[in-house]
Formats: sequence, structure tokens, C-alpha cells
Amino acid sequence: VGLVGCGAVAKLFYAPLLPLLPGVTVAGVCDLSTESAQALAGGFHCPALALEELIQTATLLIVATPPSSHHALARKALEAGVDVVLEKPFVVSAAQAEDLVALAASLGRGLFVAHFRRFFRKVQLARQVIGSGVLGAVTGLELFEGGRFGWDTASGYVSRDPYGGVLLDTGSHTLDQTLYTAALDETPFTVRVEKVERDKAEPAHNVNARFTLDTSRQQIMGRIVVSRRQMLANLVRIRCEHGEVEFGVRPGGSISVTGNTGRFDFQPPGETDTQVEAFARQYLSILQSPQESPLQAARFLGQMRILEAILHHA
Amino acid sequence: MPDPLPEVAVLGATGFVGLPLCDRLRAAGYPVTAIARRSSAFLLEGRGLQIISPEEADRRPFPIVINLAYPTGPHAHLHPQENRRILDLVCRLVRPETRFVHFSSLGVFGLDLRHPVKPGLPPRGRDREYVECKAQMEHWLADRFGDQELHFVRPGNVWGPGSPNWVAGIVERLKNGQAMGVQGQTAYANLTDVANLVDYVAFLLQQPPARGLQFHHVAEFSAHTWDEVLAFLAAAVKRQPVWLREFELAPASSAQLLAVGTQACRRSALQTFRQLRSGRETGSWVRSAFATVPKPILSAVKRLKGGARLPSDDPALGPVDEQWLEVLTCSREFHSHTLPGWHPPVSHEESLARVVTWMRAAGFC
Repeated sequence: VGLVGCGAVAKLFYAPLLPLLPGVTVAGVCDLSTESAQALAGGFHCPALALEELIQTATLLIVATPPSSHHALARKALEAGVDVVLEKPFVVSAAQAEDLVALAASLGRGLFVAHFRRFFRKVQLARQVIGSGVLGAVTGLELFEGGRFGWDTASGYVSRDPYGGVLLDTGSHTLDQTLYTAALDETPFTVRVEKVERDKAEPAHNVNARFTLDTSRQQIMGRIVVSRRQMLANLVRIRCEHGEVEFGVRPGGSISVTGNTGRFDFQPPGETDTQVEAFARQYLSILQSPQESPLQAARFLGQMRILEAILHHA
Repeated sequence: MPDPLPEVAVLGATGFVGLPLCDRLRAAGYPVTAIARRSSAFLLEGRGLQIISPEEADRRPFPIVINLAYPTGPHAHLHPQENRRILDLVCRLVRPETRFVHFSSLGVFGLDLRHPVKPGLPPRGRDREYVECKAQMEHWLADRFGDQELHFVRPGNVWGPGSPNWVAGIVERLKNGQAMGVQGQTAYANLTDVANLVDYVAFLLQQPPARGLQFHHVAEFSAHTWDEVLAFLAAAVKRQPVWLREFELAPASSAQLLAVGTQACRRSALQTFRQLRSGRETGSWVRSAFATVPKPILSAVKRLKGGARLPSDDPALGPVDEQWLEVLTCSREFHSHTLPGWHPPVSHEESLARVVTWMRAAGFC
């Protein structure tokens, strides 16, 4: 694999993980900062390469750069016959997402979006509970995630790039957990945004939005509150016709299911999750069973429509 | 007070206490310069602050310096190094004529206040990394700046709307059904409301300058117990706290002991190696090595005989649980030791009301 972008996520997650994945050799890394690229290349014992060289060398390109650059980088790699994994958020508009999905399909290439929270055990368990239908159809989504921003971003895009705001950065994570749990990543819907409050023009650091999803079966009311400035409940609540499911956005802990007969807490099977384990499981899914992977890019089109609609709501 | 008011430099301005402190000082009329890393400086925008990076910090003297910075980050074994970097930065900022306020913690007496609580320097010793770094910083600063105006402000457990530990952290434990203490045991919450704490610092700065080291303990709600606080938070999120009980234990089998011991030895060896490699704040290497022997090993020794044991000896409780339980079972009250004439503007009832209002807005309930 080749890794583009040698910033915070590369250092924290990819540097310790990639050498451990079975069958993976890091062919090279690339970054606008030669210093960052050299530092990471040293850890991987691989060369720091120019982008064109990296694309020619790798069979799978991992893009861990700021989101504004994702579309162009992915296009270049796909056209060169390389499979691509884009770090979240997928891209910065629904049109870009649709373009890449169509391009990958036409070229027969793999295109994936890294959203490791899908692999938290409790998210899988909550998805099973909702998928069982015991609580009826989904009627509402409430998402709260916030805390003081602590990432040591090398590029500083979070405060300069109009697509570096909290909605695409943190909100894409929270929204993805929720849509995946409610199987709305596989269900077509249209989006209407009712109201958006933000602390400032994009890149905004506080966003509070209300929206509605219309599927062929029902209407789902949604609310997303995300912040880089203040602590929030850091939970997802999925309301259904006969109850609700609630769980924390971080790894570990239980899910809480409330139905007609009361509330029950369920601990997911297996050992307590960590972010690194979930991160590893997502790559195993891409590498070992790409056709069945829940990270195929086509499953993120709905998420991009919601994010875009909120982002551009006046 | 001089007019205009002197400029205040704040380190650690982006934190839970730092942000409202900057706002409070601005509201009182002080020009405030926040010293923040470039990656988090945006959190301070729009508050009327001047923002500079640590690299720019020593270009001019500041008449007042407030330090709230302390080592954080996921790798506790690196905290001693970070502590020294903070000390270096403080040393570049503070001049002999500077009024210097350093935020410490009740934690300098141990998370469960097991050391004598007094307005004086804390004991040095091997301890949790957080405690050790806080205590060590006090000693360093007292050595270097004790002859000039130096204030050590030791807050109790700082809570209020937005509190990451004493509201959000506790609610997360409540919802996950994790242990909140020992049944029937009185434990002091030793809380201070963040609004009261920053008000106290503003009050402190209004006092005439006075050379020498002064200690301030701020925990205006110290008499309230965790029982009360947990009952309040649990009711807000419709949960029941889970309590541990002391219980009798049958002697463990040798196979069980071997499994626990092996696992613990591995962890201990790794921790010891990291701490010895990355630097220690205090203590000899031998004591450092002993200090990293984890509870499961000690508990396994107790289990050889069976009999009564403390819930915290349960090997199933991880290091994070142990730290929580140390605070949540604190049997000592952290009495306030504040300047005469200061009255907390936020009462206990008002503080609870503010917290629950925020909890609703933030999605907790």
C-alpha cells in the first residue's frame, strides 16, 4: 500500500497498524511536507515518494490528507488502476462522491471510505437489534458529540479550510455510526434540512442542525449537535416506533435498549473495544473481503447528501 | 488597582477552566494574552484575547502570569517530559516582578487525599503520574519563584456545565453500569464550581501585590458527598449507580493465581521499562520499579489466604476504574482555604441547576 498524508491520523493509527496487517507491505509514503514524509517513511522502512511514483508503486492507496484534496487524489489513483481507501470524511460534496463511485465502478476498481466506528462491537450489536425489527421502524435520530479539540493537526486545515469544520470532521463519524446502525447506509432517502445553527461561517466549530430523511417507507426526524469547543453527551440515540436504542460514540461500554417493558442494557460480546482494534478490523474487512466490506464507497452517498445539505444551509 | 489593568498571560487557556477564566478576566477589564499551540488556538478566537504561540512567549514581560497547563495526552509515561517543557515555558515568562498564579490541584495530596491536606508543599513520592507531575511542579516553582509573589491555587474537583470529568465522565460510567463507589461508605466529592473558581482568581488579582508563596484551596462544596452528587446525576439520566461491596473470597486456585500473575507481570514490566526510559519525576529507580507493581499482583498475594478484601483489589477492575474509585471513595474532606472577603457567587443549588440545564442542552437527558 501507499500512504498519502503523513499528519496526525497517519502517526497515531497508520504508523503502528499498517506493519501488522497480514500481507501488507508499505511501498511508500507521500506528503507536501518532506520532513513529515521522511519521518514516517523511516518508521515504515520505506521510501518517501512523489505522488506519481507512489501511485505507480502501490496497488492500494490510502488517502489521509485534508478532505478538500480527497476527490482529486482518488481520481488520479483510480484512473491509474489503483484501489483507494479514503480517510473520513469521504469527500466534500455529494457530486464528488457520486463521481468517484461511478468512476470506480466503470474502471472495476475498489473504492472504500475508512470509518472504523462501524467496527465497534456495540455498533454491530445495536445494528443487529434495530435490524431485528423488534423495535419497529426507525423514526428519529439524535446525535451529540463534542469536546475540546485535541488533535495536533500539522496542516491546520480545521481552522482555515472551509471544509475543515466540525461537521465534516467529527460529524461525519457520528453520523456514519448512526446511519450504519439504522441500516440507512443501504436505504435510499432524500434529505431536507430544517434548521442549522453554527458558531461562525465554515469552518464552523459548533453545529446544531435539524433535518428530515424521507425514505420510501417512513419519515425520519434527525438532529445532530457537534462541537469542538464544548463537551456534549457523546451519544447516539435512535428512536423507533416501539422504543429506542442509545449508545456512546466512543469504544467500549454497553448499549441501552428501551422498549415497552422497560430499559435493558446489553454488553456486546467479546473483549472491550479499543479504537485501534476497530481500526484494524476495518482494514481486515477491506483487505480480506472487499466485496462484502461495509466500507464500500457507494454506502456513503446518503451520508454525503446529509452533510452537504447541512453544510450549505444558510 | 492600576488603570489600565495590567496584562495577563494565560497558559492552558483552552481548557475547561482556562476558557471561562479568560472570559472572566476580560470581563473584569484585563488585557489577556493566551499562549496556545497553533493547532488549538482557534478555540480562543472571538473572545477578545491576544493569542500567541509558546515559541513567541518570551518576547516581552508580562506583569501577571497564570499557569493552568499540565501534562495530558494518552501516554502517561511521557508526562514527566511534558511537565519539564511546561516548566521551561513558565521560566521564560515569569520575571522577578511578575505576579505569578499557578493552578495546581487537590490531587497533590493523592487522588484519594491519603497524604495530610495542608496549605503547604505536598510530599514528593512515587504516585499516579498526574499526582506526581502536579506535586513536582509545585516543588520546582517554589524553588525558583518562592521569593516573589507566587500563588498556588489548588481547586477541588472542578465541575459545572461542560465538565468533562465530574459530569460527562460520571454520566458515562453511570450509563455503562460501572462501579461508582463502595456501598455504605461516605465519600466527599470536594467539588468547586468552575464559575466560582475563576471568580476567586479575579478576586485574588484585585488584592495588593504581596511577595512570597501563598496557598489557596478552593472547594466551596467540599462538605457534599458523592452520594448526593451521584444521586442527582443518576436521576437526571434515569440510571441507578452501581456500588461495590466488600465481600469474602474463597482462596484462589494456583492456576487462577498464575494467570493473573503472568498478565500483571507483563504489564508491570512494560510500565517499568517505559517509566525508567522516559524519565521519572521523583524517587529512586528501585522505588519506581516497585511503584509500577499493579494491584492484581498484590491482590493475588492476598488471595492466597482468602478472606476479606477490598473491592478495589478485584483484578477485573482496570487502571482506569482504579483511578475513578480512588476519587469516588475519598473519605477526606478538602476544606477551602481562601482569602477573607471572598464569597462564591454560585450557590450549591444554583450550581446543580446550571449543570442539569446544560445536561439537557448537551443531549445527556
